[in-house]
Amino acid sequence: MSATTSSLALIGYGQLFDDIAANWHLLAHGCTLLPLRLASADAAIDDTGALLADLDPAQTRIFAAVDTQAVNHARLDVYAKARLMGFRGDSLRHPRAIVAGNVRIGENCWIGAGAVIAHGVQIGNNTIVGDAVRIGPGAKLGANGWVGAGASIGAGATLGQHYLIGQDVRLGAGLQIGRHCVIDVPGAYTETLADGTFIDPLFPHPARIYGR
Amino acid sequence: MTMYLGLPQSDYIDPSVFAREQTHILRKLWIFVGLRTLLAEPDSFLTRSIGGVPIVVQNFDGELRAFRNQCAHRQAPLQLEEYGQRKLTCRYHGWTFDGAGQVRGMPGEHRLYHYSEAERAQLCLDRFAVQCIGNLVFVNLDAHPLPIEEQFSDELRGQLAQISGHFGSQAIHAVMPSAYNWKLNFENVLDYNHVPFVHPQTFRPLMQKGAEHEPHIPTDTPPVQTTALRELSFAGKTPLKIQPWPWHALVDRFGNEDAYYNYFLYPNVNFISVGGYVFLIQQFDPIAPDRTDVRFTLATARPTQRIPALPAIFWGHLKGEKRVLDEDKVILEALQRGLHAGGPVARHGAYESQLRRVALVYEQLMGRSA
Repeated sequence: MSATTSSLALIGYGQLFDDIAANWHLLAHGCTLLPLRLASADAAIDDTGALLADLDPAQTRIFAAVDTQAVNHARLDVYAKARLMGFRGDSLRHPRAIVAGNVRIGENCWIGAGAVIAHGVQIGNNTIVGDAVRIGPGAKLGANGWVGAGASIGAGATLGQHYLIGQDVRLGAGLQIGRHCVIDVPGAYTETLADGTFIDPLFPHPARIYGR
Repeated sequence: MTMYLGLPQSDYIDPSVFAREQTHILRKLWIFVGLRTLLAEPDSFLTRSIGGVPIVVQNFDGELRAFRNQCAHRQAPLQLEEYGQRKLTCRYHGWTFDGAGQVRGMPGEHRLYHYSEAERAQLCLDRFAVQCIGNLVFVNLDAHPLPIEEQFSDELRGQLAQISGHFGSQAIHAVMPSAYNWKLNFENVLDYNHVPFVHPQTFRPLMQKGAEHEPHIPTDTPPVQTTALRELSFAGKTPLKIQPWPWHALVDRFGNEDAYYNYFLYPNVNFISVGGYVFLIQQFDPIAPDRTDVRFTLATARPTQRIPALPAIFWGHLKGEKRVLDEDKVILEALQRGLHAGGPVARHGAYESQLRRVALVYEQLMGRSA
């Protein structure tokens, strides 16, 4: 939490929203939480504007807490709307997360309990790192991502923007995952994935986006 | 009237019937292979298997050419990926081929091969006919291809060209192995009466309710006695509730109706569009008598400006369509498991007259009756 602001507006809905609200006593550091619950994704941008309209961006930081809908575009919509209104996004870290000193973490990121993030890791804006995630040295995680609980990302791996790494997925060292990729079947992965590759329990083979 | 008897159960389980379908239907008719929008770049290609024959369709200077996807040397596949972009070059020994299918280069030719001039001239790929209807690419493996207008009417081809002209330049593609005969899935999509029973939560709620929207088959409808191949492929349209999404304002929609557009392309394609915003081609690719690869290719209408969330839009719609397919799959796989030689045939009612037409043409194509 920033020491210069007095309150944090937690805006969103779903499991992530509920988890952060429930853990606020561990995260607060004297800061007041303003929980602003959105009804759904349908009018999230308009509702975000309405809920933040009376708050002062100089006194309030925000955290957009929306789950993985639309490969994190739904959370990005809320976060981007707040940023356009002049709010800065905060990043939150569970006190039981272990983060090396030279790790770079962007705005609107959440680092869950028991996560271990090694030195040299870079995490882009609007990224959710779940409980007990392990990220190896030098890995680069693009913006607007989601790493599910218990997943691991090998040393030096790179992930493009808008990804979903599901629970208990293990990405090998040096692996390159393109933009807009979903890997939501637990297991070890050792092959690079092109942009727009979706590995999901609903599909026996990966779905792929083709064309330009 | 009128009860139409379906095909014998053996037609859905017998390997010899399946083998005959490969030669008499899939290698005779025009078969959809993919979208031209995904083959727009030089040397872009797709690979498929039609009737057991591996093919590659590749862009040579803007023209699509189809070849057997086997090198003239040792029959290794020339292209491996389902879609891609690279020269037509064998990965095994580096032979390269030109747009006519002739071998252009053989690394180490003068040191290693010593073909005579006449022998070298034989080193060419088998070429197949390609036709595009709008953005839909079809291939025919027959040495004397059927004129495509005998399979798809002028009117239908015009409609397909118009609607597929609205496709964006990207599409999401998925293959779902299924444990049933390919004909069951084509029959299933023709049978609109299964929707309230099989898709009560997914698809049915989107359909307009009320007596005026309920199909009613007149009792004096003449029975189907004969039919022609081109009558098996046709278009339909049903009113549909379209859930509005912000991105709808950012695409060049086909038409302006809240409708479910439905195109049946014999032998194995069902092409649908939800409101002219989303297009799904589902193809039932025969793999074995009791195995079908259901191939989904889903596109949106052409964006009029950049839509950053387009990949997520593809993914969301694809998942929705897969859930609908899975509801059909439960029924069709159970149906397939129960089939046995000598079992009773389907007994179709008046509303299933199109299934009767399909059966009549199937018998003709298989050379079993007039």
